[in-house]
Amino acid sequence: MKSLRDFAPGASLVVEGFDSKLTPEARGHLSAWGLLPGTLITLLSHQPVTRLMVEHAELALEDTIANGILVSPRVG
Amino acid sequence: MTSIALVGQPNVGKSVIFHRLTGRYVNVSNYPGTTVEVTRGALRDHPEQMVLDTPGVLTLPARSEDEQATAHILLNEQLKTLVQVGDAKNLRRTVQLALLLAEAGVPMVLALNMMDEVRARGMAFDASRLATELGLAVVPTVATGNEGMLALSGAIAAAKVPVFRLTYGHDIENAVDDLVGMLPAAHLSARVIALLYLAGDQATEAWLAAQMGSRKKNQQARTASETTFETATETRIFELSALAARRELLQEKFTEPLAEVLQRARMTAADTIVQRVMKNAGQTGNALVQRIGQWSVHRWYGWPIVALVLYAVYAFVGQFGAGVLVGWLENDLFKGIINPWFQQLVTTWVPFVWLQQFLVGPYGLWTMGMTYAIALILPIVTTFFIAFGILEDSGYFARLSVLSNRAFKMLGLNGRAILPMVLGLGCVTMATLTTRILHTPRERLIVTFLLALAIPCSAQLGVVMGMLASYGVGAFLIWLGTVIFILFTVGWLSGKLVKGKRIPLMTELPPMRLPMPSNVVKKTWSRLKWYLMEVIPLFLIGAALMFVLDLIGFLPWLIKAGEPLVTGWLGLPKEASAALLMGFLRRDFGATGLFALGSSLSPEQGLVGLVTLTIFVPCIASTMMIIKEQGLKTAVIMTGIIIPLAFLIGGLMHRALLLVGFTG
Repeated sequence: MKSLRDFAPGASLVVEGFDSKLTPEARGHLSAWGLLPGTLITLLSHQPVTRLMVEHAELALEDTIANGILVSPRVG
Repeated sequence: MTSIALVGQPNVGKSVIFHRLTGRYVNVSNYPGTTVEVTRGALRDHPEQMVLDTPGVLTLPARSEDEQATAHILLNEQLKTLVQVGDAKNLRRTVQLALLLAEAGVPMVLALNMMDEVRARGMAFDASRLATELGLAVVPTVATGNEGMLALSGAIAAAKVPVFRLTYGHDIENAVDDLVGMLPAAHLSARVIALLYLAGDQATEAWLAAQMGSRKKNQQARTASETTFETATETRIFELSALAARRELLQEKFTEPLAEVLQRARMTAADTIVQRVMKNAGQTGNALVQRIGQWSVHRWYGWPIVALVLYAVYAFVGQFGAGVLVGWLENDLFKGIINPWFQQLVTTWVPFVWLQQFLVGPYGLWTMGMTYAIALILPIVTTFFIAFGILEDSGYFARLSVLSNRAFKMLGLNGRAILPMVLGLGCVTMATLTTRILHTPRERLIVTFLLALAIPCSAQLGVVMGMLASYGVGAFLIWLGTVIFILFTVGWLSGKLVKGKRIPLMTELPPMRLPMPSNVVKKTWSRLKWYLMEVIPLFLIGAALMFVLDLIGFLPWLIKAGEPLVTGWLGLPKEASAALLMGFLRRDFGATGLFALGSSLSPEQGLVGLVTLTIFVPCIASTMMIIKEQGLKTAVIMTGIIIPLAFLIGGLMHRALLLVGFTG
């Protein structure tokens, strides 16, 4: 399974799950923002940190967190 | 008195709605975490009803200290109505929280705020259908534009307990049913308390522990008096261990934490509801302001934008405020007209020389206290607050957390730490309170220390900029570089010494928007009012204190005694001792003392004095706040480190500047 860091900025993606290395606190935070399996997101950038859009909200995540978010390309 | 609680996610406009409902203004900003404490105000037209503005909660369970304050209110306050304020454009997230709150057993209204942003994005949804789906009143609002507020007031008055229940699945429902039977009576429904407890909400756990404690005490009292026996109902006295065991039993059925399982169930239900009510999901805004927002966090363009913003603030506050405006007020108005007239008046009508000196002498109430407060500080803080309000309202500050994350990583912190620090440039006291938005005690301790050490507040920063503007941009850059160097060196050491793990950056960036002039004016006025109410009395007390110390001979003695340190080590004229002494009362009072020495200081001396005073002890109000947030012991340790460090850095800088032949 690929992580957010494996895709280029601009990609439309679907959240598939979380890497087991991600702490429960981090998972809790991400799910509170709505990042749960099945959620559609748009990747905005990787530098200086990973930024993404979920719904109309922009999130900024450090590499260690972005690496733990497993995604697949959005089909259609 | 009954209460109406405004609850919702961060940065959705709760404080603006609070202002509209109560007429009471609280600071409103375009970044999450502006409200860290619960604010209370009486409802307009119904003063017997209290409105509570609570810190934003992304979801429950609460994750930080400010979020826990909201959970605490929900659990402990007898609420007449719960008003969820939600971001209309992030409907899924808003509905997800509503799905939990709607089961709280309290009359509820959902205010879908920021409808202007929904329209700007071309989004459209059916609010009345949403009301039907959730079984509660839904009111679309634009709080900043006063749109929908009448309807909201009406809905609050007529609010009913929502007719809604979300089914979480067999195992969870069974556990909830079991827990409901074990819980004590509460203001909220037992079902919501059970759900919060299952999710591991710390505020709920603390509330349950407190309830159990009081029940046990009552039980002991009854046993001692032998008046009653435990009844069948009392045998249901809940035990925390039994609750914990039931939670563990449920957790065993899932591989993910229960908080996440519950959250997913709500998010899935929210998704379904949103799909049913959404007519058009809209587009991400692409206006110029939003593009500037993107550039401001760009790895390359972001830094020139920071430099541009810094220069603009420096030009507006340092050159225009502290240069032009102070020149008019201090030289033309006060020194030229008001002070000579007042001195004439006093010497003519006041028969006692000591009283004349007390009013218009070198440390006079008028010539020092009022002149400093009005002619020097007022124009500086006014320009600073305007610049600060514009940046705050635009949403720019939150973007600095992205750019600065790498630097804060070295300190064992993350970019979110920059928010209290930037706010500290407004007022270190308030910023110390804002450290509650940080997630761990370790982060809060380090940031509080750095705030006390190296973050100058607005008045001090304005005075610093004003003095440095006369020495040139080079002097400003040296001051800035030195303070940043100290901040990061001490921060790096603190990061190594304070135990605990670093939390990686995870933050939401509010949308960039054009600052609203009315908001900036309101904020500037509210800050100025607060500032003057604090500064004028303190400056007068300061001037009176200096007068008395001078009269009893302490000041001349101190100036002489301080000579080896002030003149010998720091290379400052001996009169600067008075400014440093004033710095104990307020750092800006001290800085103004240096400012008043004016041309008797060389640029090198001015720079050394300003760096020393920037690092110097925090003001009395900040110290009190540190004691409140971190305890007396920590405050004493911090002050004990900061004072010698300020003199050490000042002396080293003096020598370094002499070595390179700095002349300004």
